[in-house]
Amino acid sequence: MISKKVLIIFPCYNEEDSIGKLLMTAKKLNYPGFSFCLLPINDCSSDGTLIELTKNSKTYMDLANNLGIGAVVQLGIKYAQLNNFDYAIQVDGDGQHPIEEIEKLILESEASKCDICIGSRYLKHEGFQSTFARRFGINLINVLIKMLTGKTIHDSTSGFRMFNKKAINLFSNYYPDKYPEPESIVCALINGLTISEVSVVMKERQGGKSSIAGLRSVYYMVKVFLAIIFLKLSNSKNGINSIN
Amino acid sequence: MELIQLISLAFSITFLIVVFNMIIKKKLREEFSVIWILCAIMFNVFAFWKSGIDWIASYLGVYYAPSLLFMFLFGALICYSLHLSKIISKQHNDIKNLTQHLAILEDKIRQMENK
Repeated sequence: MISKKVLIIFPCYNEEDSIGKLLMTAKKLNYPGFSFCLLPINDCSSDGTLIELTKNSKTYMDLANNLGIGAVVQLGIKYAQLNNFDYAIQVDGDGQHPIEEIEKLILESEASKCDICIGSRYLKHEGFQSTFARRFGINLINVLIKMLTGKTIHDSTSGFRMFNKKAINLFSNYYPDKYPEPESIVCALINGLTISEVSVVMKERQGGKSSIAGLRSVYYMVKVFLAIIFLKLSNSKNGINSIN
Repeated sequence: MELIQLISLAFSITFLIVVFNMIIKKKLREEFSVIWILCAIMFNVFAFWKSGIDWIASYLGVYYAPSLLFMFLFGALICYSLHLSKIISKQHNDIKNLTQHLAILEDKIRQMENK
């Protein structure tokens, strides 16, 4: 039986403290019927992240400019499409997404044949639950998504996700830039993709600082709101998906 | 209602529709639209609320009320121009980096071909 090819995308921005150990753990990944390829992508880090990548991985990418999480993940997805991968998984370089939990994503994707499988922190309230302010904002976005698409997503900002070929092809053409997780969910639902959630236990940030904190997160929430509303508007205006 | 109020209302609504259309067709990013949407809303508010400008002007100590409208508009345009300059600066830098990166890549390819 031909094994399915899985690409694991590691977006890295100033993660020199955590990425080395993360890659070493990921290299040991073994699951029957699946072959794994690791792709760390250095988003123009100013610290020693690139050195960690050269030490710990055969395949990696080093960007000429800082593009942000959205464009980096999309680059990984384009790589997956170009090289005919069956699945692509996003694992953040800060160590919050544990490698051991990937198995849950794979099991759910294979069982439910969903297009996107989200590793959700908030399905069962286990593990690191994040700050109150962050959870409030996330709940607001979840309500908006429910209103516009009818689908209930518990963790719409989780970056711990698995994409199948259909999702890979969709997001190769369009993937939102800043704070892409909620907007990409709405984009997927509008284009008829199926989304499944599994409960995972995430860790606290192992190293480095979050790029979204304090007042900036308010600005991003507003942007996400606007973007989601415009996405929905574009869908109802044209009837078919307007992603070009 | 005066004719000028109708005209300014029609203009700002048309403007908003054009902006929304551009965002939907992905020709304009949402972040750039915020200032246009705010201006259009403010324009509409004062188109209807004639005494509004007079009231605010007298409160601020401005003698000629309409000049307040011009001041806001100028202020908004200046801020927007500054915002655009910031974006152009970043893009200039990005293009420089890309060009240098490209030169390094071409050199690598040349070296591989010569081996």
